[in-house]
Amino acid sequence: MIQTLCEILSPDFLLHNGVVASLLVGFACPLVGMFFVLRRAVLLGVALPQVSSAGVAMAFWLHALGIHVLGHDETERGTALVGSAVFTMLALVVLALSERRGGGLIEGRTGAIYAFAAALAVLFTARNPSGESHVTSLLKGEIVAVADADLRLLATVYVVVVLLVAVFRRQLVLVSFDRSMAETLMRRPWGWDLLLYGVFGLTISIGVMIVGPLTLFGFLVLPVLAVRPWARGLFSLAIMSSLLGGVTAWVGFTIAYRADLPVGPTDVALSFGLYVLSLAAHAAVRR
Amino acid sequence: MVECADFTLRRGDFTAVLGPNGGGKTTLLRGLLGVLKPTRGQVQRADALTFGYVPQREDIDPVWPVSAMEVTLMGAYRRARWRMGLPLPPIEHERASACLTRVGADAFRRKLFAELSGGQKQRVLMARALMTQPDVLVLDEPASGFDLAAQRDLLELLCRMHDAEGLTILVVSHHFAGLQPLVNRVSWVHSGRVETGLPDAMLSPAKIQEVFSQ
Repeated sequence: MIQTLCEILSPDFLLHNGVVASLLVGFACPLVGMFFVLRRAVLLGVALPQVSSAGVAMAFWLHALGIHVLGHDETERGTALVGSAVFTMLALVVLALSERRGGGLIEGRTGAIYAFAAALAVLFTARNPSGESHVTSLLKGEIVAVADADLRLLATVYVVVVLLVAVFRRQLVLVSFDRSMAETLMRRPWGWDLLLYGVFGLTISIGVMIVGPLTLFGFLVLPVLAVRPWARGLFSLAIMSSLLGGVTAWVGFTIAYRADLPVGPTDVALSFGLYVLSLAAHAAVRR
Repeated sequence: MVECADFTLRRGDFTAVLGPNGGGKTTLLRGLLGVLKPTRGQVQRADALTFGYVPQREDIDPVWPVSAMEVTLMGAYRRARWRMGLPLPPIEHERASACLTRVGADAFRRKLFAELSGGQKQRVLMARALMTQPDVLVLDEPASGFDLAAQRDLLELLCRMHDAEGLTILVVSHHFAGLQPLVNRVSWVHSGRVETGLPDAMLSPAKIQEVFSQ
């Protein structure tokens, strides 16, 4: 096992791109997922990847029908990226506007969007003339088969996301932690909400395309939930959850490689195991 | 909705804004802070006036693993807005320590905010408000849920800050026990109106009965 752990980090490893993509998602997603958890918007973390998947499914459907939104030389992946980004941003705008107007349950609106997006993804996939299984496999995300161009895109976007969170962390924390204080100290607190939603949108639309909605949601939320009971401050929560996400991605990839299992579900199962272990250990320590 | 809100806050005053629940106290407060725009009339403030706002403790979600020190440092975020990703300078940490000491919260600076008692949380939120270096300290229902001893401690602390440091203080509350000797102006917000006067007149049994019988 130790030998495999070292082997998969080698640049000559056959699935090197997959390993790097997993590590990027593992390290970066918890930093964004922290805001889903602390704003009590975990449901949004489930719904947005699903919305993004619906966008990908629609884009594939349009592409298979010969409708090229990016011109005739567009690739299938390029169309999917546009579909993913457009659907995710649209859902965020709808949710942000409805939140500003108030009224109703935010969980209710998020749940309704999730159900609708899940249905759309299935319907677009079923009507796709290229074949359901091909589209379904693309929707699941193929971490082990990440192309060089996709890896570059993922790395660029996630570096930008991490930088945005790091540079504007104080503003993002203040609008999320204490809205009324933020309103008295900031000229336009909703502008920072908008930035946070933009970060959510970027992380999810690219992540879903490359690793799939299940893996993405797992890395957004589970490391943060596992670490939260032990964190003694926001900095420690951010660092510990990012490290746990990265290590889980590394160990999960190794287990999947050795046992010939799909990488994404293995990572999520491992993250969940660590989450349960963390809760049990914390309960034992408190007793 | 507050229909007739003729309200003036003067430098150095210790003012209590009182009234029954749902009477419009928070609406008036949000208008003063500039969070709500009045539908008619206007709110005039001195240039560069800074409010140190202490929200209700219940507004703060315990899911956040933030220490008392981190909460206090949030009061420096406005000054540090151009530092982008850089850490806060050491002077802000020293200021935060001083603010925590001023409100008697220095002993639990490293504890998680969620693990503090109601009174301790209130003190940390006051320290955060003081970190903004405010002209006016504004407290929204500061003694809500406190027993009598905790209420007295809090009022003594506010009184000390007003008398010794000359801080202008505005307390919004539906509790009025113990306020009379401390404040120098009282405003009642009820039935969509604001009435302001001296404590003796505004906290007389007849006035209280008048307010609560409407």
